[in-house]
Amino acid sequence: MTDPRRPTRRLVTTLFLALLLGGAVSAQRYTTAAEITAAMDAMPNPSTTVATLRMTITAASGHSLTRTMQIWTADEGRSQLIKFLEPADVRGSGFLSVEQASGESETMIYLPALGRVRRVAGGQEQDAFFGSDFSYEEISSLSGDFGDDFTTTLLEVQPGPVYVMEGTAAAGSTSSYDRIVYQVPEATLIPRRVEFYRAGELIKVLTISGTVTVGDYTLPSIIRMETVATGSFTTIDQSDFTLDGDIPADVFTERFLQR
Amino acid sequence: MTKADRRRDWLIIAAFALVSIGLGLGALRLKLDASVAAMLPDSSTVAELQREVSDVFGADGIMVALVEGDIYTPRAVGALRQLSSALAKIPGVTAVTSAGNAQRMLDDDGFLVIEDLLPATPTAADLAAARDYLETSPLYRGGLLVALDGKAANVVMEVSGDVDSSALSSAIRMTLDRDWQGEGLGAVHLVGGPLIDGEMRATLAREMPLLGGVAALLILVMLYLNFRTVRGALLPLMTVLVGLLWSLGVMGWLGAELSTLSVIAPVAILAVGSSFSLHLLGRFFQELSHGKDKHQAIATARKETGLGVLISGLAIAAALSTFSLSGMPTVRALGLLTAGGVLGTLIAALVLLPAVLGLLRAPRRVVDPEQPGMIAGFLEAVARFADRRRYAILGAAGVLLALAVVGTTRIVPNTAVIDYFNANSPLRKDYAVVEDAFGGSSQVQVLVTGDLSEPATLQSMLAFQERVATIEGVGPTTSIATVLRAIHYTLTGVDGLPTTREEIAQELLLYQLSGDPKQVSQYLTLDSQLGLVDIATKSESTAIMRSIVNDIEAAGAATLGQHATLGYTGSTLLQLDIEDSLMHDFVISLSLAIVLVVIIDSFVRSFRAALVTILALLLTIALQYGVLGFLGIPLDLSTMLLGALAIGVGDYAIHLTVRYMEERRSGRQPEAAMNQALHSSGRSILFTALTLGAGFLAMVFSQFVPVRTLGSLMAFTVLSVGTASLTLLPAACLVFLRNPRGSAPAPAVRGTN
Repeated sequence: MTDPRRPTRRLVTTLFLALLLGGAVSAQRYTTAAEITAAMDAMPNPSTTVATLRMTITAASGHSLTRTMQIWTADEGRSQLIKFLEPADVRGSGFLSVEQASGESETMIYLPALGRVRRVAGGQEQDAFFGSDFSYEEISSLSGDFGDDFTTTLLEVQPGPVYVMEGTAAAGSTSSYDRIVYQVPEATLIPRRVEFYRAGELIKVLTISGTVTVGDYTLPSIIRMETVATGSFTTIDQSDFTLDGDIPADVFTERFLQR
Repeated sequence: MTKADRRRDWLIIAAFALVSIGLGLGALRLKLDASVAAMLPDSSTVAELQREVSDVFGADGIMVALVEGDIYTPRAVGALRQLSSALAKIPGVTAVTSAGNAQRMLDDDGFLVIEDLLPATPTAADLAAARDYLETSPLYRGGLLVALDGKAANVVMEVSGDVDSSALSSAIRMTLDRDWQGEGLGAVHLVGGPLIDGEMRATLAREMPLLGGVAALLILVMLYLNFRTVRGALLPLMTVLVGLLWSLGVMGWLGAELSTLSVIAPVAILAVGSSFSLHLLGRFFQELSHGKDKHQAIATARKETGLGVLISGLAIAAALSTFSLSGMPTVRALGLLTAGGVLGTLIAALVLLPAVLGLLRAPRRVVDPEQPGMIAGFLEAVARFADRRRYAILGAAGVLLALAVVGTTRIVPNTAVIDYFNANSPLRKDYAVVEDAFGGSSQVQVLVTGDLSEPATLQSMLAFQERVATIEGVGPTTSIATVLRAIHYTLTGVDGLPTTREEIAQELLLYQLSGDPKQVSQYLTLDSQLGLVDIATKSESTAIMRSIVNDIEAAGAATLGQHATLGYTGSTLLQLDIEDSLMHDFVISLSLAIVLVVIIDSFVRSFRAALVTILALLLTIALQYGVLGFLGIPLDLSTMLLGALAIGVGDYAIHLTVRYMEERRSGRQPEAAMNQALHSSGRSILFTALTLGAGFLAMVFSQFVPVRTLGSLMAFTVLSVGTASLTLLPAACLVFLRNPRGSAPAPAVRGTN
């Protein structure tokens, strides 16, 4: 049996951390992939985030589903709460993920219609995030931080300047992809397009088409992930940011989840 | 022969050679589409709905593999996992479901666990738990994935319609052989639409040249027996070769595709086309035997017999071209191919054949059809019989017609694709095994439009499925209600559906967090406004399938139809749609063929003569369908085309009428004119019947049941037309056509019987 407490759900946290990466970046030119990666890693992260997310999943046939959620994150994404606001039939449902001292995450969901909090078993890195086109793995790459899974090289520098980077799966990589190609504008250091390849075939395309500046942070506001084979895509539109604010500790509890 | 005549003949031959090469190159561009989809009518609402289902819910079709063996063992489970994984990687396979990759949901002390049903190396306890889950879960119970006795497992593959069906079937079969049968675990049985498409294509590619070759050989033998010369046997085939090249070439250049029915075309063109030359050569040899020189013999043959050949050829082409009005591409292709081939052969017989004969030296020895001998004696007896027993013959024909009508009322249509194959073929055997275990390999798909987040709608969906499951011939049914029932059972222990909109939405949300979203998206759209109910049905005859579909629709109207709009499609309904379209084509083409043949035959300068001639044809067509009814042969893809085909093919009877009218114009009295006509044209008619019959008989070597049936029935038909032409037609002429236009006045009918 799969360990229900496995930390995969942390990637949900990583998503929103990634989305919040940003900062005032002055124009400068990098010459190597290592410099660009280091610059991206050096971008400041807000200590806490409260935001509203509007996620629209659209099938190739055109049928779509939009859900609006409020998200709270703290402890560099180690604590995260999502509350569903819309549609009405899921309003009040919540999702809580808290990383324990052991490094494992405890994930639970509250469904008002079922009347109790349930712990949720972990899925796979490749599992779809809430039935969307995003997998947990892809969400973690939104910041351009591909961890130890990929060895990055600078392919070219486009006008802007925009750095076109290539990541190839490193030895021992756990990623389901063997190659990624992403474009990073120097102005934001937030990837604006990421292509995910498997066995030479383009599987998915991620596009960040809008950014917003809140205080010292430049944040992606419109993010789209398309699954090439099926033609489905998911758009995340985030707004109403409150960054570095005080979030009471009891927000990340089972009691608040049920409130 | 003058130098100018010789030059003209060489020019004609050169022109034919050039055109044949030019058009013939187009034949190399011909494509083959032997899929069931190629048979679908253009404006099929069922096919349109099928495309919508495919676009919205993904899968184009399913294939099911049944693997035999002791499934609940670690070795078999390991192999099943490996097999499912390997099958999923085959291009064109969009999803695989088996016990090897199925998941189960567990409410494990507050945790919603969704995990593999069977681990890679299961313990005895794992196997027992998996068996218990498969037998009790609403998703899988009833032996859906593993037979209740544990001796077989089903592997269900969703496949795309965009890939080459032969390549897909081969890759799947190779994987099954390698990962299961090759491991010594047991036998495998594979069924599904792409497999049938692949089999049909392979059979078609094999049989088109084979049947054509056999038909050509049989026709050669008959022609040689008739003329007793090599040129008499080869020249008709030369004209047919020209017609075939032109017809196939034009289709190739037009980008048309050959389909399952196209297998009939070469045989039909060979048989029909060779009869044109047979009549012309018969007259040519007859004139030679009567002392005319070569050029006079050619001129007489072209002038006198050419009229009958031209009319008969045009009538045949017109009758066959009625297929091109069909709404089905496959029938249209057959119509274009055969009508084009017949026209090409006709032109070659009337233009090329005289040119070749003009250049060849006159044969030293020719057969005079009127010289005394066995055949002449037989024709003499026939003429005497027709003269003396004319009313008895007409009466007997009336009785046969009445019997045929009775037989026609007993015909049962059946166009089920599976019945194209022999009952003892490996494919049919595999279908029997898989359908017995899985409950069905055909599909009825119900597209549900309505508010599917409403509990009452989902409850009625479940009620619909439960009612449908009681229908004989129906296998497992699945829908979003099935999936939700399994989730609800896991979460609450209640074997039923959630009762509020919130419960429905939130249970699906919970499932999306842990399970495979495809499990939901293959039955429900994101906005919950469209749903799909998959119903497996057995691949029975279309009559039984129609009854099953009617029962399903009645169940739908009484349950789910009260809450939502239902649209029905799927492979089962597509087959019924093909049948309905064929029935429509059958009536249209047969009626139109009769009208066209009467009109064209009336070009012999007498509408009455045309009507009398077609009398013989109509009787034989009625007999054809009467035989179908009495022998229990179904009206299928091929036999539906039989009528119009027979009208065209059988129109060689016109040659007797033409000759009879020729004799009447020369001043002979009706009885003497008919006697003379039978003596001179009778031999050609006899050998035309034998040649056509032999040609169509080649089809009995086909692996396709309908093609075989068509071959036997066409052989029966042309022999019947031959018999009717030598008995009924003379009798009818002597009673109803005593004074055709331009003939000498006849005395009053003398009744000798």
